[in-house]
Amino acid sequence: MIRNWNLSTIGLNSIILKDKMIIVSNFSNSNFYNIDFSGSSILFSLFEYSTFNNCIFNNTTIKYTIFAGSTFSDCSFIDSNIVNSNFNGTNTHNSSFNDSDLYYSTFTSSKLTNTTFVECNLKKTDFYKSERNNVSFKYSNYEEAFFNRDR
Amino acid sequence: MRCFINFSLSGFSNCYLIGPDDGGDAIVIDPGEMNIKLLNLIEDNNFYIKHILITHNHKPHIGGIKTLLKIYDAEIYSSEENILGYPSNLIHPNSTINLSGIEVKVMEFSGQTKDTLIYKVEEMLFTGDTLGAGSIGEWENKNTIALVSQSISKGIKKLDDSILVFPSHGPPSTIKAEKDFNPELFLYE
Repeated sequence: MIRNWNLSTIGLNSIILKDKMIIVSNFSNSNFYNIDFSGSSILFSLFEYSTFNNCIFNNTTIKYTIFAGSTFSDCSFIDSNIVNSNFNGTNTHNSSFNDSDLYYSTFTSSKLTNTTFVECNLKKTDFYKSERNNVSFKYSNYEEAFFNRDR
Repeated sequence: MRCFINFSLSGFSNCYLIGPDDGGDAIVIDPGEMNIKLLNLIEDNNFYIKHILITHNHKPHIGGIKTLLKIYDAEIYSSEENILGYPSNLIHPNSTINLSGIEVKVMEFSGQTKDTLIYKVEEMLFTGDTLGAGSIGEWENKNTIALVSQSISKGIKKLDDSILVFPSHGPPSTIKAEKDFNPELFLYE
């Protein structure tokens, strides 16, 4: 278990963090390259303004976690439970969130390129002011997501 | 000090629990629902709820008060003298209150109403419906939104980037992320 760790600005390369519990930890402004987080639970943690390259988050549980301002390249969040988490201002390309529950997570002001949200639960997922280029929401309940705000 | 989040399906709202590391008198912010998960959080951490802070008097944020008061001898603090028929200690923006040794700064950002309060405890900002991750609260019309946006923008400008933002709905954020990515702020400068 990784709990109450403050590792901001760390650089991690080719590390396996499978099936770990990461709770109330700070990894902001960090670089993650080729990291396997699959099966992990990431709760109440801070990863803002970080870079993720070729990272695997499959079968993870991510709750109340902040990724705002981060960049994701060639990352996979398949079959995950990503609830109440903040992806605002993120830049994501060549990545997949397929088969995931993204309930109440936010992608406001994000840039999404070549990224798929196939068969996802998008209830209350917020994509307001996001730029989407070659993004697929196939078989997802995207009508329950927010793309506009009626003000 | 420890802080816990409890999600309530009633109103899809967040309730926050703050207490000392070694247990003791604790604070609940916006108890929208008193469910078994919240009770377990309180009891497993050896907390005793002594104070209930309300950001605003809406059902998703006060629905759990009745049950909480049956279990704990707690005092309510809000911008109103009465919440759900229970007496509430009236608190005002720009003041600081000390609740069992925990210093709470009382703030107000919207500029439109004194009913909606924000609480700052150490480096945590509990923003109610005023400020969420990438959004501001719902207001009556476009003119009001412009004024509210201006007022909240002015309010958060003064705060350190590293402060954590805990809204009543949706995910947490940081002041830096709100300054950088909230499309409803800094529009009218």
